[in-house]
Amino acid sequence: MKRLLVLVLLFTFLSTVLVLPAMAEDTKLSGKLVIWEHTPQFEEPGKAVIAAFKELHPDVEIDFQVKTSDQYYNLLATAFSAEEAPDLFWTNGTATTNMGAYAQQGLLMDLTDKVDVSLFSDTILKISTIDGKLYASPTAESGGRCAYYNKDIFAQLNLEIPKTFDEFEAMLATIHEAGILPISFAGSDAWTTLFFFEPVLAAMHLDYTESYLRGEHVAINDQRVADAMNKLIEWGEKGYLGVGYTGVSGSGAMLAFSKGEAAMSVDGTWNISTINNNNPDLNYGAFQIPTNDGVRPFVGTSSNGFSIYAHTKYPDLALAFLNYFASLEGQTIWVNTLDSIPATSKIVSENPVVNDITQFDVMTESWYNIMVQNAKEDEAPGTVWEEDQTKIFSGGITVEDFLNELQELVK
Amino acid sequence: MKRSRAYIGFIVPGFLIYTVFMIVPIVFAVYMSFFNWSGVGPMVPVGLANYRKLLFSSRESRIFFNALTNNFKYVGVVFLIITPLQIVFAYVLYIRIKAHKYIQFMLFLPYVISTSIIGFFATMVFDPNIGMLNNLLAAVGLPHLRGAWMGDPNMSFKIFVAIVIWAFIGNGMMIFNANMKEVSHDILEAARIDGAGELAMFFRVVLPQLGSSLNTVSTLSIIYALTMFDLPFLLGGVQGGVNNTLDFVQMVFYRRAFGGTYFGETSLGYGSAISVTVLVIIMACFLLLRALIYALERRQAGSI
Repeated sequence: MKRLLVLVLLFTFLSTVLVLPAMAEDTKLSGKLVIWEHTPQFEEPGKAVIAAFKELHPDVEIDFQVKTSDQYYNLLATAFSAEEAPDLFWTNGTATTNMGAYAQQGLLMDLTDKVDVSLFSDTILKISTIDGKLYASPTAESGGRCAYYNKDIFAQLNLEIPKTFDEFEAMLATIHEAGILPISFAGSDAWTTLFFFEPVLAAMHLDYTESYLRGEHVAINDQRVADAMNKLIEWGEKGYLGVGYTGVSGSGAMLAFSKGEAAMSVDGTWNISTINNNNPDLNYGAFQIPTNDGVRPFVGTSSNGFSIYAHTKYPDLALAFLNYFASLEGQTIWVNTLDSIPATSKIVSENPVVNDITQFDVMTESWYNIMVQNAKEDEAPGTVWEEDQTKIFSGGITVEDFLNELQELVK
Repeated sequence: MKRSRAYIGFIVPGFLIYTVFMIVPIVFAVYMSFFNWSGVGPMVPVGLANYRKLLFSSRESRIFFNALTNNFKYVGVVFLIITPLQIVFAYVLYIRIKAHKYIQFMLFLPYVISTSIIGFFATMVFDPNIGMLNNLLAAVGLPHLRGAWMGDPNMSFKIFVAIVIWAFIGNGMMIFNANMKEVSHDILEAARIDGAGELAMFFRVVLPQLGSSLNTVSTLSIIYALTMFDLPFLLGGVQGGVNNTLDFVQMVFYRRAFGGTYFGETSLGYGSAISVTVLVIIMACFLLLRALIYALERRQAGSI
């Protein structure tokens, strides 16, 4: 009996000393995660979310690596081949074929029911979902386009935010006549061209993207698309886009606006922090180019976040991070650090320019998205588009030929 | 007598390193060129399809041959403009004109600046919005002369050549200058006594002695011209500049193999086909150049 009592006491002691701390250890997160981001633009928001996560889990180590966008997928492919992929990494979701290819290869963890994405609408979740399976967390950032304007120049010329497209165009002429550059535009950069062209298309022919959203077929080489591209060329010829705009780089265009040398810049909504960094004293706001009916369309796209490597050494830790990233707290930090447009009303921005941008009447589809979402199998219209887009300004190709070559690659 | 085999010990490390880091990748590139492979997932054999696409599909062959033409245009510039300029400046330094040390310093200085900094300088000068050139033209009352510069298809290649001359003339110039210093003073003295002026000295005495440096500089220049990448990439972007006027074959390779763009798709198989084709072209050019130089040397030797 005495021996039994000793055994019970010994068992109790060992349980207390050895097992219980081990159980407690299970609930305490520790380990090291490697996370890859594709562009320095998202460095600060990434760091901010990680810092907040580490406050909750101080024993977690996170190596956050920011790559350059032009090498990103190549580096990722090399890391997969070497079986040294980061635990979490950015992809552009369903907007490109990469995430789908990785999922098909079994390189991505199926996150369905593992990550709480209740913050996001079904529309937003499309960017992270393939065949009903969740392969990434989206972000609550809506990547859109807008017209940034210099308030001092507008005040100097007694200009107000235009209420119709005709007013907008007339305003360009007024600014030009005053000897000020109306729009700082990078005609050598396909992406900047896209971010300018799409709001102009929406303002001139909102019915084009709206009919696509209603499920109707629209052609990439539709006359309405050609009209909008020709409008940009016309503005270039009239001098509204500056002398030698075909040689201006994306950063050069943004710098010129930031320095107060241009009245406007029509570009991505994610550039607010860039403008603020370039010139914190710039007095500027933003608006959406209106249609002639006075509707203010907002061309916006959802934004994808991080996926988890299927063979990560720390699956629980990676899931814990991604759940935090996808939470309201995580996304509030992400969106507000980025000074970007929240895609949900649960996140409120304190940035006045962000609040300017959210003053729109209808959110509409991106022409680029229509193109890549309807690409024929084994065709890459995005690559052809990127190679040839700027040539419409420099006489390398006509708008008609450019759109026709794209149409051949699209259903 | 047993022959010493000590030399093998000296050869083996270099041979192994060269084989592992040069020959194996080339062989693997040739192998990959027969596959469709993004770098992830299975490699799908496609036979010669990548080569057919490169050489015969209307869009791809147009892009490739336009880039190749730019490479050869640059080769032409090397032989017609850059190399003669290098020889002239080397001679100017050789005859020690006034301020020759300052000239030497100024000509050689850009060569030690990294290509990325040169690209940055070019942006600071030629960017139509924030560049100095347009601002300067406006400031001196010539606003009508402002231009797109690198964004002008008629100007971009010329500006590129001007930047190359500014940045890299020092390299070949130093090689020619070193070669000139080896020309025997007795020959020069004899030529002077015979009444040769500076021009005659240059064309009839110094220039014919530059065979070895010309050989070296020409070979290096051709290889540089056919592997051109960094400077046009920095000046005109990955798409090859305005209307592809600064597109070179290595840039086409980069775009196709690694995507090269924000959302580009990687195609290592097709990229390998491009690199193998370029390798064959470079080898052919190199052998042709060697044959030409060999023929010239034999002719020169025969005339002595």
